[in-house]
Amino acid sequence: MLRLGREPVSEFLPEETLYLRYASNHFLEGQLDPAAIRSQPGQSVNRGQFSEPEDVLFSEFGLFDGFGVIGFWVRDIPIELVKANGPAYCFFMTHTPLDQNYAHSEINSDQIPRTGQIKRPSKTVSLEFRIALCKKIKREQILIEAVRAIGESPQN
Amino acid sequence: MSSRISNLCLLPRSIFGHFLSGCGVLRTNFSLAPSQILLEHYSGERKKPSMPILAPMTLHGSEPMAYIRPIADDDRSQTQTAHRIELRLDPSAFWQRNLRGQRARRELEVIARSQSHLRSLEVDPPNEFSIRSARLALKLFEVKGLNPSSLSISMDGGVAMSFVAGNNRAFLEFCNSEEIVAACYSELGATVVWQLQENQKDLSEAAIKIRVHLAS
Repeated sequence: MLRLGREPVSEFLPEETLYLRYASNHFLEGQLDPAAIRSQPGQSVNRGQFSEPEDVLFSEFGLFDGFGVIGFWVRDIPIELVKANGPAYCFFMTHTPLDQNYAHSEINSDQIPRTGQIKRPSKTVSLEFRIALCKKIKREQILIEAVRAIGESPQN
Repeated sequence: MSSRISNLCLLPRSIFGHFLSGCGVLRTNFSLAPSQILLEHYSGERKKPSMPILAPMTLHGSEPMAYIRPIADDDRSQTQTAHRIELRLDPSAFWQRNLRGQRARRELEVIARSQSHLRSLEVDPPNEFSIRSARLALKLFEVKGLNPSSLSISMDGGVAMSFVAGNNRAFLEFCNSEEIVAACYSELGATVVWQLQENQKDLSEAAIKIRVHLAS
């Protein structure tokens, strides 16, 4: 789990698993709720190639105790979203290792045509992205069941 | 009175509908018009004896219940505590919707209190705008008979409301950035997303759109 000086691996294969932390009140009627996913940039996930599901919940202070873990695939991430009014956006994975978590990655976005930078889409585009991803995440993909809601403090 | 009540006949279920289905059989004097028996919510001093027969509302998060007002010998309605009916066993869609609304309002008030621990999770606690606009929406939606299946803190910063009816879903997010976004979607159909303002008109229109989508 520690980085130990390793370089990022930029290639993500479509069948690579990604691990996402979730709260119990963010899973509704058999499907992940869009409230569980952040807009770009900023949604962190762990790469399955370099970590185990429980690593997503690791914290020296037990901050994530009680939350759950969902697994999904890189191919589940919508590649692009085109809107009638406004620029089109593409979405991609970026491996952003942390000293304590080599598997740490982010879902990012850029405009089409690509600028080579990370461009934040509008709230509506971002919500459409989040919903498209949530549609792919079903109850069967829960790897560790959450027992804590997002509004609850760890000691509850 | 007791003899009149014990002179029993089955009250047509269609009159009281679903509310009596969890109550066993309600019997009354055959000669009395069904409208002379009132189901009303227990509201202490705010009782309205002339209230028509409707699903009793729950108050202050208490258990849903109803009181039957049987007819006295002089044919005047008389309050009696004889029957407490547990309606929670098999609640109607109307009642379930109201309970959902009540849960959502309670949840929002919990969220509105300190959520400082969210910062350690790198989540922005809902700010004044998101709480205020969510409150306004809940109030307007209740009037329109729309209550969220879930109300929660959004990981994106703000308050989120989710609606589920079978395969149809809707989502409303009151963002800390003072934006409000809504979406209607289903398992296989297209997703419709739009932005709205914090005003009665936009929120009411959103409620109608969501209701139509959930019922489709």
